[in-house]
Order: sequence, then structure tokens, then C-alpha cells
Amino acid sequence: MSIPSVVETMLQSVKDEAKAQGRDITDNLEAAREYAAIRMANLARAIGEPGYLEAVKAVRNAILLRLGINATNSADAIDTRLQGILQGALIMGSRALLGA
Amino acid sequence: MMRLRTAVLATIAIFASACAGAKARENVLLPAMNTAYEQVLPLIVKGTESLPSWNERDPVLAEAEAMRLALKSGDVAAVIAVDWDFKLHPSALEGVRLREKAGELGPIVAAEFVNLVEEFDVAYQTLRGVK
Repeated sequence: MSIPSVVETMLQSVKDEAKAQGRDITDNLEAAREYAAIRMANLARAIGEPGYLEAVKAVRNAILLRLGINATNSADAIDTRLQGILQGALIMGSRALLGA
Repeated sequence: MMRLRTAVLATIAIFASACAGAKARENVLLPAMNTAYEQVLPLIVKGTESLPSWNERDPVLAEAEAMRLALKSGDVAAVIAVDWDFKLHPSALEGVRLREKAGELGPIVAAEFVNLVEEFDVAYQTLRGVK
């Protein structure tokens, strides 16, 4: 099995796990693809090492965590932008109030 | 007065859609941490074997259990209240080292376990709002 197809299999496993938790990670999946490819390339060198099967699960869990971290950081960026808009709206409101 | 109403409505709309970060923490990051912790917890327990006595081990094991319960409950405040930085994180890394030393993990496999622990650390810091 080639590395790209293993990556896709791994991502499908991550997707299934997320789905089992009631989450849709489709939008976030592209960002994880590159990260997964790096991890899987590393894992490919570990075939035959003790604990290999546990490492496959560790990689899957690491990808899940990375997805969560990316999603949170993206959402925080949105919050920061909204806070700016909110501040503008409040300034506009207070000006309107003073002018009323 | 009309402009004031517009501004107030805009503010309410923004409030309604804000806090995306908080939702991402609860709905995406926390479940991922809960799943990953199933693999991190045994490493923490293993790592305590390096501590000289039960007086040192017990607080780490208690904190590890507190983290398990906090993640299971989905309570962000309870998770960030756990001492991951000084008790659990070093113990998890020590657990990987001990397992590698015992021949249970190969060097590349051990590196993947270390990577998992470090990703969990980044997740914890992200949950706390540090990173």
C-alpha cells in the first residue's frame, strides 16, 4: 500500500472517529492531510518495530488533536475579528446615543 | 435614534454569532483530547514508576484521574484546572522513555508517542488560551 493511500485510510479512520463523536471535520480535513502525510511517512519507517500497532493509534490520535487545535485557532481568529466589529458597533451606538 | 437601534441590533447579532472559539474548544478540541487521553493516561501511570515513593506517585496518579474525569465531563474549566504542565506532562514523557528502555517501543514508535504527548500539550495550552 502506498503512503498516499495509507494517509487516506488514516484520514478516513480519523473522519470516522470524529463522526462517532458527532462532528463533521470535512472543512478541516485538508489542513490535516499534510500533517498526516508527515506522520505516516515516519510511521512507514517503523514497520516491524515493537509497539508498531500502538503507534498507528497514536498517529490517529495526534491527527485528531491537530484537527481540534486548528479548528480552535481558526475560531479564535474569527472571535478576534468579531470583537473588532463589535467595538465598532458600540462606538457607532454611543455616538448615535450622544447625538440623539 | 434609528442609528442607535441599528447599532444595538448589530451588536445583538454579533453577540449571537460570537464565541466561535469557545464552541470549538468544547465541541472539537475537548472530544479529541478525551480520545487521545486513553493513550496518554497509561504513559503517565508508567512514568510514575520512576518516582522514588508513593508519596510522590500518589499526587500524580490523582491528578491523572482528575484529568480523565474532567475530559469525560467535557468541562473546560475542570480540564485546565488540572496540573498538566508540572505533573502529568513530564510523567507521560517519562513513561515513553521507560517503555522504550524496556524494549516495548522501538525508537521511531517512541518518537510517535512523544509526538502524541506534545500534541496533547499543545491542545491543553490551546484549551487554556495560551497557544
